[in-house]
Formats: sequence, structure tokens, C-alpha cells
Amino acid sequence: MTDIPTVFVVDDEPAMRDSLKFLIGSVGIAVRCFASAEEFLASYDPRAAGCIVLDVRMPGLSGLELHEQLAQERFTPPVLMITGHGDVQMAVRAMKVGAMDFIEKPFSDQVLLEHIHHAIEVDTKRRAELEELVVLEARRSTLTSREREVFSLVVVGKPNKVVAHELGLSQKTIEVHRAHAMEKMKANSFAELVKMAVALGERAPDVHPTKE
Amino acid sequence: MNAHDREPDHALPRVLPSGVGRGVVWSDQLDGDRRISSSSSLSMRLGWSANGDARIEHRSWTQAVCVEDRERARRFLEAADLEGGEIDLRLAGGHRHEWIRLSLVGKDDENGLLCVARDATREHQLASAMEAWAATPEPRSSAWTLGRSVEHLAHLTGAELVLISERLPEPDQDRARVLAMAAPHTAVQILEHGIRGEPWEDAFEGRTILTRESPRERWPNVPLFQHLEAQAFLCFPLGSPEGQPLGVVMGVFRQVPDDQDWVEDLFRLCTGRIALEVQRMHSVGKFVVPVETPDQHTGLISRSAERYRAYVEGAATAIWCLETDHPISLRSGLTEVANQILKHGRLVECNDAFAHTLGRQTARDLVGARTSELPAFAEGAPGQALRKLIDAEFLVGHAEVAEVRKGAPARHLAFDLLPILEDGAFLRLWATQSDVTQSVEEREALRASHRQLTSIFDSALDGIFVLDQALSVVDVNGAFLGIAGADHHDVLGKHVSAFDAGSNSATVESLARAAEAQGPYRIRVSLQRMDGTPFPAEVSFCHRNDEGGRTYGFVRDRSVEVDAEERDRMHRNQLTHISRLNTVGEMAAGIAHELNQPLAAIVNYTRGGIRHLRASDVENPELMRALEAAADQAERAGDVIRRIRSFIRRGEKQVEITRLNDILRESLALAEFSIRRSQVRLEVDYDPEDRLVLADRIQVEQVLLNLIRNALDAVRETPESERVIRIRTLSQSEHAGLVLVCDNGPGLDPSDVEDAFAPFVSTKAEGIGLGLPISRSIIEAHGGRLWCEPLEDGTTCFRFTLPFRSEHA
Repeated sequence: MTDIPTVFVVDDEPAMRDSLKFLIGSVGIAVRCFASAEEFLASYDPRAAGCIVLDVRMPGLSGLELHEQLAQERFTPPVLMITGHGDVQMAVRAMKVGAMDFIEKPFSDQVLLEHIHHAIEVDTKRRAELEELVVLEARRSTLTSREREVFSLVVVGKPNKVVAHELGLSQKTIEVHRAHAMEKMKANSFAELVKMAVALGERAPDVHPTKE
Repeated sequence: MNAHDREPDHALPRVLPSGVGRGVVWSDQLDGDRRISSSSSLSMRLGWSANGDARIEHRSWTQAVCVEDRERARRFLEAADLEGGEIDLRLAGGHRHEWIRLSLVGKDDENGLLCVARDATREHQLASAMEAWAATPEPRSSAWTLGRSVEHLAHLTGAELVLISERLPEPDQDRARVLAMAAPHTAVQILEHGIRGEPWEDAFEGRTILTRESPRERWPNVPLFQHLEAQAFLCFPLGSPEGQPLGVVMGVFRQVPDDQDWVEDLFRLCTGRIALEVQRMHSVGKFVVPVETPDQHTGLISRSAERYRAYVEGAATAIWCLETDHPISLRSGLTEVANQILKHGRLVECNDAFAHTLGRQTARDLVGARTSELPAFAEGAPGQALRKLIDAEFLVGHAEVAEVRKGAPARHLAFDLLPILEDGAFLRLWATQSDVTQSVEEREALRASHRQLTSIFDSALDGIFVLDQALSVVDVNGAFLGIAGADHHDVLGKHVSAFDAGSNSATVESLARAAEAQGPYRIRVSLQRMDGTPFPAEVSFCHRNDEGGRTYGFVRDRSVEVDAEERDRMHRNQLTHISRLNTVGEMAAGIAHELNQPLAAIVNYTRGGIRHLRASDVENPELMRALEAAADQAERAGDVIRRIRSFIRRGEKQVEITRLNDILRESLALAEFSIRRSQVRLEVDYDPEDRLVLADRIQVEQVLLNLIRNALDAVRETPESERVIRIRTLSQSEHAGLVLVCDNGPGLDPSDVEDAFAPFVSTKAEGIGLGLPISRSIIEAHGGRLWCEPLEDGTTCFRFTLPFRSEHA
């Protein structure tokens, strides 16, 4: 994982590539340039931090198509679209797949650089969240299936008594499972556990109460 | 006769002008002794304009005169010499019944004998009529004689009808009775008629009256005249040699006779004989052949009988005669007469030809047989023929009967029946019978072909009209009435110019005339309907010289077609217009785009430069100011371009929900002509799914047309037989449709593919290189993509996508 955020510029126009590199480089941000979407994909590493500046119109895979392809991945770095002739339809399409911004050429350096700074911030934040999530997922994977069940049910706010009834276990056993889960998830408080569950997108499992 | 006195104006003409009136000049070359050298050297020149038909010029006289009269003519010429004289001769060939009267008028050394002739046909007709009278076989009943005389008179005078009528005795003296009549084309009705009144009475008193009036109007109550198309009638007095009035002979004519004197001569000649017969009839009291023949007539009778036998027995036509044992009064009604004839009649005469029709060899055994014993009369064709005539209230006349036979096709027989009547009673029935199967079949075939033509005429989709020589409409079919918006009675008799819309370079009338001179042809003109609305039409004319010079016209109403053409043309114009506007707009857009890139780079460089300068330790306010000014200017230029582009973009697309296949179909229709002209094989595959797209139809059509045109240009170098353009529509994914336009031209070098889309780059000498960039920007404005990708087999293939219209949108 590279720690230095980099701006990946994909534009078929050499002058645009070079001038963008020069401009972005002037504020001390690392820049890597690619002449086509294909060239970019060949060396694309989703772990590389930063953002992507895409020209919409390019021979071969267009900027929009490249973005659509990237958007299918679990994690997509923020994308800034630049275009010489943007129109509303194109902008809407770009935004639908999650482009952060749509900038028309020629643009003021101020605007572009602000957007890039913002995108890098977003990327850093998203990456941190992702990293945390990965840790939480790893912890959750250490839970036994019973602990997992109990974890899912208690974090949505169900009292132990109800959980015990639903799973057909004693309240005592539930308390033990819950304590194990807290410990394995490294949660200092129940509130922290609930926060983790939210981050993991945990939802109550669909269990039917067992009849006594 | 002295020829010079008679025909002074024809004396010795050296050269007879052609076309001179009734004149014939015979010229005989004389030798030095003023003798006729040889008969074969005689020549004749005939300018025969009496009836406009006979014209013989410079023929040897032996050819001009009929064979029988040649010897007589030669002798006349040899003997005549200077004496002068006259001779009547018959002409040869088709003019055999024409006579010329030749008068020798003189001679000269050069030309020889000169004769002038005039038409003597009528004199000879009269003479032969008299001969015919003399030759009439004797004796005959008065009724027969009267019947023959009126027939004869009708034939000679060309009358439609001739009848002999007498005044009835008291108490019916104000009525007239028809004793006999003849109408060559009409069956005779043996009834009494009240033909009395002014001209009749005048004639009865002894005056000859020619009335220029239709007898139908004169005697509206006399049925006999009702179906005659006649404009004149002659009432001729019939009187005894002592001057006592007997009755009136009447002749009815279709037109007033040209030569009234001639007609009256003939009537005069015949009425003498008729008067004798009528008188005899009155004195004897009934029409009976005298049984005891006077001795002096014996020879005549036997000769006449011989002639009769020869005629009857040798005839190919079947002849038979029925007689009843007793005369049957006509007053009992015609049906009764027929029944009596068929039930109680006896076959008194018949020839072998009739016997053959009954399957017998000879007539001998048949004569004397009862009609009741012969199935032919009980239920066969002869019986049917008689009943058929009776049903039509005629006893005399012509009837045709179809005889149905087992195992053989029906046979058609024609009968002519002639009853012999005396004093209002039936004596016997003469009949001739002939097999007319062939002519009936021919007639039926003609009718069938007529029916076929009629049904073609009536059911034709094109309007058909028939014009007479004056170009008035004589017939039209239903389709024509539909086109003209008229009924039969509106159109018939109208001159063809009534349908001329008046906006043609040539009148319809002159066009119809042209068919006469140039033969059939087809032309597009503007016609008008009955209500005066003009409509475009395609008319073909053809003219036939026979049948009175009819011109046939066939009309196709082109208004629907022309409307479609007009719409098509408008669509094309619109497309061209939009295409031109787009081209201008796209040129601006292209320039703007092309400038935009370097401008953006300039801005980036200068702004980047400023930042670098700021970040460094170097203090250079001059450089900083220059860089900032440069960046400002570049941004200003960018703004200008942005404004231009937003102005161009204001011409919004006219989007509608449509189908890719429909757009393709319409584009192909527009390109049809170019495709056909390029001799290229076109393969089109339509997407069976054919989903909806949201598009500016005209713009997308323009893209397709552009790609098709490029493909057509690309295959120009390919041999004609191998030129193929393939166009497909298909669904590329769930979201977008794909259109492929592929050609097997030389193909694009992969490195040139992107160049093809650059503005102002063209491989064509006359191109400005905007076709593909414009097409691409149109497709991109639609949210699609346009690119070029060769197929595996190396064919060039341009493709574009258009997003499907999402169902919920």
C-alpha cells in the first residue's frame, strides 16, 4: 500500500497530460499520467491512494466507460471527470456511477486543485474506513457461529432474555456468548460493539423463536 | 345516234381528266388503214365517280368487261366504225352487276376509236326485275304471288318494309287490311292494322305521296311500325286497269330515297301485277291455286316443277313441307295453328338432306308420314322452332334451336319457316333447316371473349375511357368513374378536353390526337375530376384505325403517389437543411474543441508556472505579472469559446421515442437511389428485439446516411459483383442498442482509424472532413458512442450505440 496520495491523470492529449502534471505537481502532489484507459488499467492498483482525473472522450475505452468499469470494484478511488465539451446528459451519467466532479475545460487552476485536494481527503478518509472495516471483519470472522448469532441479535437492541427465547437457549448461556463476542471484537463497551456492528452493516439474523 | 349531239362536251378529248363524271373512254389504236389493229390493244380508262367506287384506269378492255360480253363488245367496235351507236356491257370482277352504256363518239388518228359511257346499271336492274316477273313460276296462289311481289319490291327499292293494304268492306270501311308484306330484316306479323288516315286515303284516291315522317309517329298505335327506324314512307295507289281504287302499297324507308323517281318507277312496275292478283283474289273469293290448269300453261308448269325438284332435291340445306288435311283458320289463334300442324300434319315434301338429319338415307319413305309419328316434330328441333316462333307471335321467320343429343355435344339448327296462307287460313308450312353449330359456337366464342374483355374493362384498376373520332367519350369503366368522381351520364358524350386541368404544356386533346399519329404512348399529365379538382395522372393513349377510329385511354390516379413523393422530398429537404446547419454548427464546435485543448494546456502551464514561481525563493514580479496576464488572457479565450459552444448547443435536439429499426428503414429508403446506382449488394439484419430509443430521428438518420455514404465510397474500388454492405441493428447490452455499418472496401489502416474522427481530416478529395466528427458528436449527444472496429474478416465496420429508453422514464 502506497502512503503518498497520487493523482492519476488519464488523457489522450499529450499537452493536457503534461500541463496537468506540471500544474498539479506545482502544489507538491504526486502525479502519474496515462495516455489511455487501457494503459491505466494495465497498471491499476486499487490500493494506491489518491484520485483519478479522467478525460471523458478518448479513443478506445472512454473516460465514462473506464469509470463505469472501476465502479464495479469494491473500492473505487474518487474520480474527477474533465471534458472539453461536457453536456448535461454526460454529466448525469458520470455522476450516476459516482464521479465526484465534472469539470469543463479550460478550468481555473484554483478549482481543479481544490477538487483534487478534496478528492484526496475523501480518499484518505475512505481508505481509513476501509482499513478499519477490514480489521473488524477479521475480528468478526473469529466468532463462532453461536457467538455470531448472539452478536447480531444483541447489537440491534434486543435484551438477553428475548435473545435467549429466540435462540432457545438460557439467559446465562447468552451472557457468556455475548461476553466472548465483546472480547473477540475488542470492544471496550457495548456501545462500541454497536458502532462496530453498524460499520460492518450488521443486521439482525432472521431467526424464528423456538416453541417451549 | 349521233354522238356529237348527245355528249358534246366529251367530244374527242385527247386526254380525259381523271375523276371526270360518268365517263369511259375506250381508245383503240388504229393502223394506217384506219382499221382496228387487234382487239387486245384496246385499253380503257374509267373515271367512275357515280358512287365513288368503280375506278378503272388504263386497263385493257378485255379485263374491264366481263367475259360473257367481250365478244359482243368486240363486234360492236369493229362494226361501229364511223356509224356510231350504243352498246350495254357488264363490268368484270366485283363490278359484275354494274352496267355501262357505251356510245361511240368518234375517232381520231392518234387515239383511235373514242367512246363515252354512262352508268346503265339501273336500267338493267329494272329490266332484270321485269324478267324476274316473267320468270315467276306459274301458277301460284294469289297470296304467294303477293308475298313474292312485296319481297321483290322491298329488295329492289331498299325499303325497310313494303306492304299491300286494302280497305275493308262495310261496315269496317274505315279500317285497312294488310294483304301481304315483306320486310327483309323483320319477321312478318299476319294481322290487320288500322293504317288509315291522310296519306293513305290520298294514295287510295290515286296520288303518290312520299311523306318525310316516321311511320311510327304517324301511326303510333300500329305495332308493326314501332320497331322500325324509318324517316320516310311512300304511299302508292293500287288501282285496277280500269282505274278503280283497290288499295295502297306502302314502302317504309330508313332514309328519304335519293332517287325518288326510280323508286316510284319500281312501284309502278310492280303494282300493275299486284293489282291483277288482288282483283283475281277478289273475283275468286279466296286464294286458291286453280286446280284445273289451262292447257297453255302445261309446259310452263312442268318446267317449273322440274326446276323445283332440282332445287329441293339437290339442296344441301334440309327442306321440308307440312300440310294439314284441312285448311286451319288463323282466327283460331296462332298457338292452335301450331298445335294442329304438329299433331295432325303430314310431311308432304322433304329432301334427302332432311332425311339425313333424322338418320335416314333417303327422303322417299318419309314423305307422307304423319308428324305425330315423327319424334322430330313431336319433341325435336323442328317442333321447337315452330313453337318458338309462335311464342313470339310470328308464324313466319327465323328461329334457332339447340338440339340436345345423348353422348354428343349439342347441335344448333337454324330454321326458316314460311307458312302458305290463303284467305286467312293456313295451308302448308315450308321450312328450310340447316346446321349452324359452327357459327353458333363461333358466335358464343366471340361473346365469351366479349364478356371476358368486358369484365377486364370493368374490373381494371386503371380508369379506361374510349373516345370516338371527335374525341368524345363513348365508354368508360367503373374505375374511371371512381377517378373522375362522376356517373356514366355525366361523362358519356363529353369531349376529352373536359378532363384537362389546363396546366399541361400540351392539351389533353392534342395528346389524344398524337396517339393517332405516333402510336401508343404514356405520359404524365394533370387532369381534373368532374368537380374541377385537378389531380396528377398517368395516361396512356392508343388509337385503332378500325372500328371507326377509336382512341383508348388508360388513366392512373397518381395523387397518392405524388403526395408520398412530396412528403419524401420535404423530408429530404429538411434533412439537407438540418445537415447544413449542423455542419456549420459542428465546424464551430470542432474549432472550439480543437482550440479548447491547447487553451486548457496553456492555462495549466501558466498557472502551474505561477505556483512554481511562488513556491521558489526567486522574486520576480515582472515575470509573475506576465504569467498571470497570460493565464488571464487564455482563460478569457476559453470563456469566448464556452459562450460560442453554449450558443451552438442552444439548438436543442428534437427527441422522440422511436425504434432503431425504423430509423434504419427510413435511412435506407433515403439512400435507396445511391445504393442502387452503386451496384452494391445490401444485407440488412434487423434486431428482432427492436427496443425503444430516445433520439432525434433526423440527426440519427443523418449519421446512418453518412456511414452508408462512406461505405458506398469505400467499395467503389471493389469489383461490382463483390461489393457488399452489411448493416445490422442489435442489442449490445441491456442498456444500449448497437448499429453496425460494414463494408468490404479496402479498409482503414488501424493507425488511421482515430484520424478519421478528427475534424478537418478527410480521405476524400471533396470532403471537408466533418462527417465522422459530426456523426460522433451527434451520437455522443445521444449518450452513445461511435467508433470503428474492423471485423475479423478484415471488413471495415463502423459501429455506434444508442442507449435504450428505460421503461420507467
